[in-house]
Amino acid sequence: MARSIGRDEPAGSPQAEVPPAPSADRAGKPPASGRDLRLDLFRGLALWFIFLNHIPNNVANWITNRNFGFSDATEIFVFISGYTGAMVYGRQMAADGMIVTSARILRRAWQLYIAFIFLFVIYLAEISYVVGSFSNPLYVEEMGALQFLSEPDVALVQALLLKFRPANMDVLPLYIVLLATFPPVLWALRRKPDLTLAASALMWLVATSTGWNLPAYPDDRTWFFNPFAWQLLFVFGGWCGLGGSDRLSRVVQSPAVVAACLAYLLVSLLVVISWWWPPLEGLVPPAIGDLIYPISKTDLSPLRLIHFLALAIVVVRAVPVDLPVLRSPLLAPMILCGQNSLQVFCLGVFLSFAAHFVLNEISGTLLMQLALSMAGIVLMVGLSALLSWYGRVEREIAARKHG
Amino acid sequence: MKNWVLSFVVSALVLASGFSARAESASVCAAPSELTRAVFTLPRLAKSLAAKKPTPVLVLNSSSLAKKSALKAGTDKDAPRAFPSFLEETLRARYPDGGVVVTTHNEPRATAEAILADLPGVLAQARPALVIWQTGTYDAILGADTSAFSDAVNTGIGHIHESGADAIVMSPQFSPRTAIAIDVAPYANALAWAARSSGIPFFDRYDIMQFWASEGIFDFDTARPSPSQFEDVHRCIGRLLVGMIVDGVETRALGSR
Repeated sequence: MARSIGRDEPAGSPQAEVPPAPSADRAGKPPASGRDLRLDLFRGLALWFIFLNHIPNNVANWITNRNFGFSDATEIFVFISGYTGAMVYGRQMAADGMIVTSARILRRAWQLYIAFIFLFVIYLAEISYVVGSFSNPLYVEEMGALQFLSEPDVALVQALLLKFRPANMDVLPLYIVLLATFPPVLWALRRKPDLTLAASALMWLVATSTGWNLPAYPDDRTWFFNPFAWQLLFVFGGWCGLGGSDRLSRVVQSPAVVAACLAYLLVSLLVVISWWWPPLEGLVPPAIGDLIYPISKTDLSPLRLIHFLALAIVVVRAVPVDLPVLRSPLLAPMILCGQNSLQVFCLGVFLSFAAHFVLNEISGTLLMQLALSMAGIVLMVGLSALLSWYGRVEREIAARKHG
Repeated sequence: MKNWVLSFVVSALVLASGFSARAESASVCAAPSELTRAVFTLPRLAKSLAAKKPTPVLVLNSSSLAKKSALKAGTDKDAPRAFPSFLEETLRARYPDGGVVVTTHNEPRATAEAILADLPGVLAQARPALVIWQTGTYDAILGADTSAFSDAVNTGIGHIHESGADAIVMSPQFSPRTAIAIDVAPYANALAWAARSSGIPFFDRYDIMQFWASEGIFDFDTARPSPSQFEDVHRCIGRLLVGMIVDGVETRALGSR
């Protein structure tokens, strides 16, 4: 079948979780032509935001959602990945069986692992360059922190064990762990969706209240994205992707719920603005602040989780699945990126390293920051266009052979 | 992060007090007033200064200065003057009768939590009127949990207050070259809130340095910094700190906002 051949082509097929064939099912009420483009659109947007956020000292990351609410692009990325993963692999599990589908999921996790190692090598090169070329007495302490290079054997092995995860690459190990453990989760989600979601929520609760997390290197670090906490968004995405979102439609359509969500988003907006805009500085009363700060990203703080859910509900309401603008060429670049998320994500990490390098080595002007941000997004779109084209060609050839 | 916004709101505070230095540094120790005002008062310090008795100021530091570095062995001669030294000089000039003595307690590579264990002992020995606590750098390097960090800072501020001293907390440095590996911003944010909720001034060195970088006052990412950059930066930090201290001492009647 064309679909599975395209998927099994590791070199350049579109994402496994993005089947080209029309698939009118769970994602709300998709229009005649098939998929819910909103998933791709917002995942593409999240990838752009993640790229922009990962360039330190970049003016362009002011437009990203983390400056306007508690949650950020990571939540969007993890949720949509869970959603599409469950949708696509769930369908395969029904058609092809548990074993084959599990193997496919694990192969996907393996690809991510390879990508992680590849990016790690580039990261090492950049850090080695910084350590070797830069000596400023002001930064002795910071540079000393990069001394893991003095024992590359340990650093490399720790990286292979996913225990050494440089800043900015944290999402990747999280995603690898989530995918590698996905087969049994998906199996459970298909049988007892509500029970699985409840178990997942329980695990999140335990993780946030006890700080239970995976160990990391060096010293007594832990994972920046606690997988025991973040799995909740992935599983919830999966639960929605397997039909949960239909069951939630009454909640989503309720004016009271939408109003509550809007209110929460507004409060969150004001609080976050008070962090960087002096006139609002005294906005959060100390009693409340002591209760809510700091808002943990590591353990997916409830404030972040609720913010994401509120945002999702409002967006689902504001952008119906059949909105004509979703098919406009204007949004096509973003959708393309969302459809090739793994490759685009990895390219984005690489590009953020490169942009950081250019900003420090060549010029860090405002204009340069904007130019690099734009150039990065253009390259991400270019790559996804290429991948989509290649996937399409391969599928056509396969269809001709088999059909 | 927020500095380019702040730069629009600038009402620069220039502290070009007496001390003559290289033109570069003397004229540019400026930062937006949002970053340099005390907001909260320093009543214990004010009392000690007014009483004209010895006024010990303690700087708690995690810095490892030049001599600790294996990376840049060979370039260090005499250790350069760091901000505590400039702080003492400028404070003494401002309060000639205050009996100001600045001491530094350095614990290289120590997180806020690690410092806590020694803090009561250090305080009992130094009996300071003011503690300037610079923290967060090593926490950021380790990627320590921000809530544990904030708890530790709050506990530390509690110790300082119990010992009868005022406190100012200071955020880590802005370091563009290492920013890809070490993300300091969440710790600076946690510190800002800890300071606010404890009602003490917050010296946001991170934002101030970022302001300097964005205004072209200092070039922190060049491969060849000027030989005097270390001292110029520390001199400015020392002076702006004094500006904040003076603010905190003199606005005692207003109380916290």
